[in-house]
Amino acid sequence: MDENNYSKFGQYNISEKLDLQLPKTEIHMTRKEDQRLAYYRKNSINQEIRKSIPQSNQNVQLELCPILPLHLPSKITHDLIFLRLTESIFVEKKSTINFIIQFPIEIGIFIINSKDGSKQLFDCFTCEPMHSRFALYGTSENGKLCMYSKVDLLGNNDVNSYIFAKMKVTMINELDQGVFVKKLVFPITDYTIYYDEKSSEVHIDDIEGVIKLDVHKEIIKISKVDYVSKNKDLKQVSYSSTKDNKPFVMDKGFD
Amino acid sequence: MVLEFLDTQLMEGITIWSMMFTICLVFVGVIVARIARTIFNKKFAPNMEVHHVKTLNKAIYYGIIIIFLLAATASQGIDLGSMVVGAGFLGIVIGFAAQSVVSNMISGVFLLIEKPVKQGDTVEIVDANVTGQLIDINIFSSKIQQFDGTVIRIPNEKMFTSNIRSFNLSEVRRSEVTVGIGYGEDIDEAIKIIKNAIEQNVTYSLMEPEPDFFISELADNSVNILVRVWYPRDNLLKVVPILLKIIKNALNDAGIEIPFPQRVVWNGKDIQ
Repeated sequence: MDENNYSKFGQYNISEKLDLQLPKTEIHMTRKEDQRLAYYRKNSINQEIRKSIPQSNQNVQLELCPILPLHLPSKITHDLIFLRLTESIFVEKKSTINFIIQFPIEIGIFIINSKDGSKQLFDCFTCEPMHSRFALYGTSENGKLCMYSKVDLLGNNDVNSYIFAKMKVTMINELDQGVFVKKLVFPITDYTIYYDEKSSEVHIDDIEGVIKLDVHKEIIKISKVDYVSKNKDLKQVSYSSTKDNKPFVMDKGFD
Repeated sequence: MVLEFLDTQLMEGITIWSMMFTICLVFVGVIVARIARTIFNKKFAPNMEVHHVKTLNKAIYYGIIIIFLLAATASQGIDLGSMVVGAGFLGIVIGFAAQSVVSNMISGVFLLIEKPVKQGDTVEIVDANVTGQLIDINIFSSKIQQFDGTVIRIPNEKMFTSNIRSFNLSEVRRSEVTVGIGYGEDIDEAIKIIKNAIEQNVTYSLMEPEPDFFISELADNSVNILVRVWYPRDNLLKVVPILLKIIKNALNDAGIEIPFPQRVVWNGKDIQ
């Protein structure tokens, strides 16, 4: 199916029936005779998930939107993501480079409370099962468990916005020699996802990495940079209300 | 009459009245200790780690009871020290009998101070050949729930002096399985197929460090490949039980032979 024919991100009202079509995934919501809303999801490997919202007499409003890749297959990491770049990035000495990469996303279905407008996560899934994987950053003695994804650099070509968001990376090399960067590890709970309801284009906050020496060891200090766009209609999906902008130090290697 | 009865001396300096007063005060102490424990559990425990909560629970409960006991005996002029000395020979006998009890108690205190393991950890007590989740460290013994659901009580002394293998100090664990392929098969191709099958189907297998492969043995009937897989430490049951099934299915689909022992019996008559 063409990407343009997939259901768009955004809010939906359900009175009797709603069908959503996404890559490798189909979702159907139907009102039953006992007034409950039955939810059915089927993914690429024919797994079926059934849920229901009982005693729902009024119209239910839900939001289909991209969310951070933290939930699948289960939430057991320290909110760290491990992005393995498919090709090494060479950063020349005393230089700054910018590039855009794919950033894996999950898709969330939120039920919107009719009284106060608050949103509650009802279901989440991924259109690319290989994103629901883990990796260890560091050694088995002191390493940290992370969510894992293999990502490509983006040129002018678009990404599949149901699978990836776009993330701008700035790398500043303060060392006296060039280095190769082949992986990026950082906590993502504080990152905000931005999406456009019309185009379904998805962005996430940018990152800035400073490559420097710390006690004879090469490290990358990674900080979040807020995403800035001319598009004022972008919707935001954010997790934590209190933002912690403390940089994360990749001190266990980046090759 | 009643006052005379209450004034009756049980031992030197200890009357029935002082004994009853002490018991009542200790009883009050138990009630106060329970209230303090409840307040602690409601106010402070939700923000603390489970093993700290359990340890502090015991410290608060028994600490308050001991304070009330000492206060009661002191207020009635009962000298616990002289009572112990007065017990004399009986004390020595009880002391010998209670040697292991005291040893277990002191080991329990040391376990709580040194914290080689915490409540909730998955551990193996090597000397006792017990593996499971440590569910409680009490005054005299610790309880370990094995994976079959049964609970084993281990005296603290044994626990303290035994080698303890902890599965919780690292975030990941590694398991290994051995798979045999036929001598005529391409080893590199088989490894590639197994690796791909694990990456695609074993969700909890770590992508980095990726699975390792070694030829462990050129056996009688097969070339044995040792497959080592890393996974999050608490997800053993999501990986190990399905690993061999996934590998076998992948090798079958690729038409790679998994040989089994065969014996060809020649009849002497046929040879002639």
